[in-house]
This record gives sequence, C-alpha cells and structure tokens, in this order.
Amino acid sequence: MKSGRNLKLKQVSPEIYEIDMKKGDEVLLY
Amino acid sequence: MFNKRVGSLLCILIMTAISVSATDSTETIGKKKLRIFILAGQSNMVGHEHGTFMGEMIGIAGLVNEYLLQSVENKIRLFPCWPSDKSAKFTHLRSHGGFIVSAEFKDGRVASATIESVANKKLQILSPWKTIYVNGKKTAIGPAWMTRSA
Repeated sequence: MKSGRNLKLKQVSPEIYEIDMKKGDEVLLY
Repeated sequence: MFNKRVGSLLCILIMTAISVSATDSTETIGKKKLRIFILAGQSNMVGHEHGTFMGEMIGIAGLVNEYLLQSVENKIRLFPCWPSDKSAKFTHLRSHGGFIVSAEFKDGRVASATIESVANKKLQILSPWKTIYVNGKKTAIGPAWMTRSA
C-alpha cells in the first residue's frame, strides 16, 4: 500500500466487497 | 449490472465471437476464392495480402481483456470466464472507476490481485475468494452471508 493508510473492507452484497480507496492507494488481495 | 446471468451471457458472446474469428475458412465468391485469416496471435500489425487489419486486431485484444477483467463503473470482476485449467497473469490493465489492476490465475483459482487507485473512487470487487486478505490482513471469514456488515 503506497499511502500507508489502513483500508477497510465492507461487504455490500453477498459477493461484492467494497474498499474505500483514495488516489495513490494500492491493495494486494488474495 | 453485475449479476451472474449478465456475466454468463457476456462470456458466451465473447467465446462465440472468438471461435468465429479464430477459424480459417475459405469461401468462393464467383470463381475467386476469398480467404479469411486467423487474426489472433499476430503482433506485427501487418495484414497478409490486402493491407492491414488494425481494427480487427484491436477487437481481438479487447475480447481477450474481457476474459481477464470486467469492470462496470467501480465494480471489478477478475477472470470472469477464463478456463480453469489454464494459468494466466496480467499486469496494469486499466478498469472503469480509475483503477490499475494486476492479477494472477493459477491452479484453477484467482491467486492474487493488486489494485491501484488513480482516482478517489470506492473499489467494489466481486470476490473470487471466501476469505479475503487485504495487504496480508484477513478481513472476511467464512461464507459471505455470515460476515455481512452494514
């Protein structure tokens, strides 16, 4: 993560997850 | 917009289009033979006999991209119709919503994805995993309906 922010994951539907990202944020998902 | 029926229909259309474009067929118009060449996989941007096929080649690339990544607004779906017996990897594909996506498909599943935001938009990802690790941190456990939060 480039910005160093702590990103939160929110489930918006049974299969869709939402991450509040700002410009420059990078996440590794697995 | 992001339900399975729409995704499946899109996959079928893409696979049909690729199978049609990937065949090498010969038709006879009058006495002269017309050949339709395979366009996928050729990278020199030069046609065979009668000029260039730039438009068609870009179309094929677009279709392959749809195999790897689909995005609508800020919603992303990884490897929506990639064959499960083939490994694949892509880097730096741009998606709707201002994201740069890299991902890997291995052993019949999405192994990992790196997503960078170039705009201030919320990312919505159709999860291929039951458990998601965000930057190495476990953030959702078990079946989706058990971990739902408002």
